Amino acid sequence: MLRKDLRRGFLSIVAGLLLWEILARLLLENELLIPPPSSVVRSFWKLASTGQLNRHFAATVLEFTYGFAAACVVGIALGYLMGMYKWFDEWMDPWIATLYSIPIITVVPLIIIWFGLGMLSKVIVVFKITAVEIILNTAAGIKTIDPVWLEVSKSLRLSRWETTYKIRLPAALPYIVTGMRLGVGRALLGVIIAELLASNAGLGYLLRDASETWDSPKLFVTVVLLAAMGIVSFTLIKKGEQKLAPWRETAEW
Amino acid sequence: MLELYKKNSPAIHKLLSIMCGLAVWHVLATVIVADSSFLVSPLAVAAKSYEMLFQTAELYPHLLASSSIFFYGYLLSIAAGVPLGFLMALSPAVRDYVHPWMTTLYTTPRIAFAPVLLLWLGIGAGAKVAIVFLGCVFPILINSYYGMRVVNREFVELARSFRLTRLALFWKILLPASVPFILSGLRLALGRGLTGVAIAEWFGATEGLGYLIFFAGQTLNVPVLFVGVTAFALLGILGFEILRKVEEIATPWRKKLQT
Amino acid sequence: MAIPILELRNLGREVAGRGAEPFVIFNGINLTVRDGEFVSIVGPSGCGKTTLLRVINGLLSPSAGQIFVDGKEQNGADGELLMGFVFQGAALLPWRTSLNNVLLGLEGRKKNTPDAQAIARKYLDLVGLSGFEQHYPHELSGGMQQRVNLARALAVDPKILLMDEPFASLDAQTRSFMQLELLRIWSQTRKTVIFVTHMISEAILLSDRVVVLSHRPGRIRSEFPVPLPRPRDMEIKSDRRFVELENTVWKLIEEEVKAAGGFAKL
Repeated sequence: MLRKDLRRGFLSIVAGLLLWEILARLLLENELLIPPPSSVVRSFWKLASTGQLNRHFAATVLEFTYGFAAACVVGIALGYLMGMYKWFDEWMDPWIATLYSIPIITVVPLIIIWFGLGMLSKVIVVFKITAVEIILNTAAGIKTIDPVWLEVSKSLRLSRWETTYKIRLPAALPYIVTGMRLGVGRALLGVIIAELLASNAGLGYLLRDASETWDSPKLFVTVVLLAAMGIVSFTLIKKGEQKLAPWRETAEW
Repeated sequence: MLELYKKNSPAIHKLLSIMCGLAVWHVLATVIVADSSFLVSPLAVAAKSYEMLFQTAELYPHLLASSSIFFYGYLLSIAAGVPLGFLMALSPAVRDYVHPWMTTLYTTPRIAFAPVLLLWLGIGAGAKVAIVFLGCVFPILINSYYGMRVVNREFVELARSFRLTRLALFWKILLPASVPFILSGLRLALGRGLTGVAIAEWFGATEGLGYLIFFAGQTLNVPVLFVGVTAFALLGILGFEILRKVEEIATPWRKKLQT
Repeated sequence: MAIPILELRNLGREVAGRGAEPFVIFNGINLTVRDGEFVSIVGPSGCGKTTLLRVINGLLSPSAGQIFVDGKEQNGADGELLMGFVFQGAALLPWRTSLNNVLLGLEGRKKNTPDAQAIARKYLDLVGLSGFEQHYPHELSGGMQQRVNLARALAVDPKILLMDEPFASLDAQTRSFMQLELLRIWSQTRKTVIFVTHMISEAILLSDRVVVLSHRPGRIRSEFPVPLPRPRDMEIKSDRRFVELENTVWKLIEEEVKAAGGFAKL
């Protein structure tokens, strides 16, 4: 017996897909505008069996992983320093704030000019987006630590290093994870945009290819794949958030 | 002198940081890279901005086009997102049926919808506004929903203890309690909306800041590229400042809380 | 005998439990309150005293029994406004000034509209907050917030005032001052009050009668009239009768707690 909200959700999805199929088949009869789910599935099989899908998918995931990992390391380190040292925070602030307030995608053309059409430019895009989020959130987490905890640490005569990894970093962890979560969503968008603008592999490339050749079923396959990727990464992050900071409630969405 | 420094040291540090950064950028561009199709100095960007603003005035149509697309998309998002968010908060059935579609649309990278929307709505203003709308509507919707869901339980009991009508409960308790949440939704939506404008204008547009940047990127016109990016950043900052003012006016009781 | 202002007949409330058995919070509560009486309800943690107060007001519905006010049976929160509720956490709306918070219950009640402002000011004055009408809740101290909370409940001129541990979150000193203030305000308004608290001395100091609830499921374990003259002040706490009553009530509650499995289970 499923929970009521899950049952309704499932019902809603099934009804929506059915409506889409009927609408596409009976009313529009135009594969170009709205291909029915069945031809989207067929197109998916074709792409998957020729190995194309695998190649593009792997490219995007790889670019994403490299950029994200680098951003975590650099972001936490810089954020920690900004949270700890006021002068460093003041020197960094104007530049981080500038990077943050510029819509990422407007700098993508520039990054492509600088780092080329290959994988590196996409890794940089992911890195830039995620790092800014993690830096800001880590710094906020370090700054807003409850002074009582630091007094606890002092009263127990913990060393500086112990204070860092037993008190400060765990205290900032929920913030850091929030930064990562915000970064994932935006970075996914960023990497797709970069691929769309200039590349020869990746889901963004597939998207452009499909829309330029007016291959609607393929276009929809890509859209559905991107949706799935978004949902999967979001769920993973949420699970990870619960694992890393179980003492905190996670966002409902 | 030392006194003055101590008083304003954060501002001084920031100013120094900006000046040093600009100097490094200038040296990097003119001496080390010295290739204007790769990097140009901040002075060149300033000169180009001046030219495009006051001499050729070619920036204005782009600014106008981008702003109006943004404006319509943003307003539509508020008009649709706030009521739907409230409805979802007040009716579990609506929430359960809408939720899976919303999660799907929200977590999908928006760029994926751009070609589809263009396919359906053509390369007119409609598709562009729709792309901006898709970017803005979810943070607004989710925050409206959430704001109304987390209203202090005692406030609702308070309304019931005074035998307020359901309508009064909505207007006097639930709505004002969700205003700060809606405002933070609006703030989130601002950045996403601007990104939406840029995405929308990359696909078959002939004007707008997004088009300007895209075209400059294709033709390796780095100075114009920088002007476009700067203009976008300034639009964003302007938007945030306006929202801050709105927040001050709409929620005067929070003013002292923040300082 | 005159009709009592409040009468509870066999009142009970239960909610769905973990298993098939419902979870009984309290049951079989019979209580009669005279007009103008100050009754305190005390009991061990988790005896359902706060829930009882919410059921009396109609915020929660009873699963058994009836509530009569002035001889008329009450049916939930849709009924007439006869009771004022003073919340534990003050529950002041942060977007409203003190005055507007007090006005909340008066708004939309036609009989009061012309001079609602004057009424609100009068009650703010009564609780000692004239001059703070335009202050927002966050600009007020905890004690002041509770004063506004009280003024808001009084302003609708309820027949009965229900107070849910209103001083629980205040520091000990402020709490004592607020108890004295409540004594003063009560002597001026002579409202019927049902006051829930876990602090025995507070209950005795304020009330005409102290009702002791048992551990879950909550029932009325005992009732004690308070044999102390009014007006009262803090010195009365050293009165022999005060101390004796406090000891008696404490022993009862201690027994209840032991029966429930000891202090550590609280």
